[in-house]
Amino acid sequence: MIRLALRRDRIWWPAWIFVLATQVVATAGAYESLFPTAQSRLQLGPTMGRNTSLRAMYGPAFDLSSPGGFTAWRMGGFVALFVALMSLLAVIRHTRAEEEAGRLELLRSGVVGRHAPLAAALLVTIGANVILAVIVVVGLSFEGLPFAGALALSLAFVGCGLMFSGVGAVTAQISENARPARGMAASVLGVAFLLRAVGDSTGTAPWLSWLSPIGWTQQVRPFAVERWWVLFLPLVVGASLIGLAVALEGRRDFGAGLRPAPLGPERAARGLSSAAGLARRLQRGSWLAWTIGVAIFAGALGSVANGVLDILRGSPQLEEVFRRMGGGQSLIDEFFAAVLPLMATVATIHTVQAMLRLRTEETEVRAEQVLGTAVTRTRLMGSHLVHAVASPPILMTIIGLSAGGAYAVSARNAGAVWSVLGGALVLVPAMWVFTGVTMALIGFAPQRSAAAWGVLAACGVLGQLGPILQLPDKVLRISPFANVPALPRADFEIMPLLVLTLIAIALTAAGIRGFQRRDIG
Amino acid sequence: MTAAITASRLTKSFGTTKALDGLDLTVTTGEVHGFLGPNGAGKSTTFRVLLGLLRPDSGEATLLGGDPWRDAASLHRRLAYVPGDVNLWPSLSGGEVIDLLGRLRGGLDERRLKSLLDRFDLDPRKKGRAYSKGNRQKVALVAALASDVELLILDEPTAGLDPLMESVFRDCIQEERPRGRTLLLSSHILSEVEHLCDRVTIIKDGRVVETGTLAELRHLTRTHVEAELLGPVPADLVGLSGVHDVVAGGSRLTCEVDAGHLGTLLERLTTVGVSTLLSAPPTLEELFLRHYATAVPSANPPQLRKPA
Repeated sequence: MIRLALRRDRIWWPAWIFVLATQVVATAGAYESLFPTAQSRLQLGPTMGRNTSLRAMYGPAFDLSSPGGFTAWRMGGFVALFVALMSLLAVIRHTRAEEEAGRLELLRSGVVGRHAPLAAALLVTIGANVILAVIVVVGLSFEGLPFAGALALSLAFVGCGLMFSGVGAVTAQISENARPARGMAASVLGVAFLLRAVGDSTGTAPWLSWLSPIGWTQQVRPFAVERWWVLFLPLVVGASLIGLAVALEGRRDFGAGLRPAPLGPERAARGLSSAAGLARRLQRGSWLAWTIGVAIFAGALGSVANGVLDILRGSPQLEEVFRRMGGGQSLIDEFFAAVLPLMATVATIHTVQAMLRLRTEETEVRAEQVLGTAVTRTRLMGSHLVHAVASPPILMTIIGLSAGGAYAVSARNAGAVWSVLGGALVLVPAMWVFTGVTMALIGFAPQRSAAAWGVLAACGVLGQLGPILQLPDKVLRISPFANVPALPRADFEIMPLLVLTLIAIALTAAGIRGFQRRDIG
Repeated sequence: MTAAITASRLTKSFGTTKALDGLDLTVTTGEVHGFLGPNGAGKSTTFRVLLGLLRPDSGEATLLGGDPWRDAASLHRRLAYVPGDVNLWPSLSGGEVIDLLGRLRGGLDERRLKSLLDRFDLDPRKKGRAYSKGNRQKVALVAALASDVELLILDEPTAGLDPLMESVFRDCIQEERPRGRTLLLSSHILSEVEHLCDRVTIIKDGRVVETGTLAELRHLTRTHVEAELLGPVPADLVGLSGVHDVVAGGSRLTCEVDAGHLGTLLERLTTVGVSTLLSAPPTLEELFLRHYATAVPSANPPQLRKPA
């Protein structure tokens, strides 16, 4: 069973572990170059460490004057969050999702015990957490960080992973279907993050952080006189949750949940009577999640922006460091010009996802049923294309207004909203190129349409790592995002935007033609 | 009589595999046509070509007087199609799917819908992800049967249904006959085709091996005869034309007789005297096995068999 689980995940696990581990180690490595002098390091504590919005995002800072302490602060909470997400997704994926798909039935009817799939899922997940921990310890030791701190940080991650493996195992028993189970487990994680954010930033109720498993990760205080006993908290709670899941699994029937699946309406609403209506319905959930998600994320970044500025104002040396890193005139414009393309890259995930829905409908043999009615191919395709075209302007408007608005409020500078919004909207044509790329793949290489993710990931990585690696401009400009004028820092230019839009239109039109002519299925 | 569907010399390859290899098919308006073949014979591929989802490499097809590729959408207004493996949208309830598919086809018969839901014992409030395979199939079938269309194309319509629902389905199809709707249904459940269909087309490896009415197909087949005679079985039966697989044990006889030769056999038997006689027309099962299996299993142990 364990071998089967490992085989099915041979890309999934390495990807998660690699990304998370490199984040931690890279942060530790970057500390030296970011804050070269002892004085700049000592100043971090009173400035960054005290900043309320930064405390809400990253958690309390216990010691920012060492690379280890800085890493634990900057990455500890975030990595714990993603370790938790990875663990709960993995456990649900191998238990409830398998059961729902009916694949487990095959195995359970063999010589496999009732709890074997759950046990295998938990073992694999915890094993992956341990591997991540080992890589982090080794990586941080290579960077010359104290072993005890590295061990404490990694064990805190393992604890968090264990804890949320338990959460995933329990929700997988409660719900009949994998999706609500994931939703429930993710909500627990969301509440945990919020409790910690509130507890750490307000200062009036620090005990709130102690209710959050993510808070525990930080209260271990790696690299700042470790408190080993805190590690028992996730261990005990996680083990109890796993025990609870096992008990629940023993009481329920195979395939059933503790809570029956909710029923839907008996008849379809009036809106659900065309291909467009169906697409609207199918895309609704992801629109809701993405608009709320980017609004919160952009709002958080917008409010941190002023904090960053405050820190810099309070410390001429730091200001100098940041100036050297960016080289622009206005620091805040620099900040947004750097952050907005990153946000656009993330938002493009929704764009690509909306377009790929067309392909999913096809591979799941649902498009066949719709095309078996009076719906033309053009209609079916258009019903999803509309969403992939609308996604960039809508999401970027929300990002611009939310980030700009949050910054404008905290900086008492109403005019900033418009310059940030402008900076967000110029990125739209670059995002449309991905609509086109995805549509072209669906039209001409349907089996490879998932390659759209590869293209987006490559452009994202190029945008983030390219400048650090000092790649030549020609290479950087392969990514559509690099061809957009970097508003609000740089001047507005219309030509690049027109060219990007034309490329997007050409790719989309080609994809449409391909889709109209090819076989479906 | 007009043809609802004609296809001639259709070929379609996927990579190196030839799914259709010169397939011909004619479905007359108003008939229930059975499309038989083992898995991978090209049944679903044929349907997909007829629906304009696939473009054939060569050959021609006409559907309700139109070109299935060019006029797909306008033709589909007049037909309902249920794929072999029905997948529903996980977040939509069964009732929503039925309404949606009905509206996309241009209307549902409300009264019929209610009675179908009732007879198929289907809860339309369940979400797509909560339905079993059989229930997903029922959702699509109800939507198709309640639609106001002239042609129904059903790919393995009973594959996921339990025996009770299968008989409900048969009744529903029988009710379709007087409505004058044309039905094309594929299956590898032979008894179902035998009960329901006016005409049958049997395909293998993308080619038609036999087509015709059941009576016409029986023409090509042999009747199984079992008899208890009053005296010993005459030895010259073995050489009698049209009589095969003779197995004689004293006064007991079993054999296979070509259609049209039954009279000759009976004449010969009555000279000896018959105490019991059992003759069964071939089931489609046997028909099928003759085309797709290497050997026809015999009811009698092979060692008793005399050379035919």
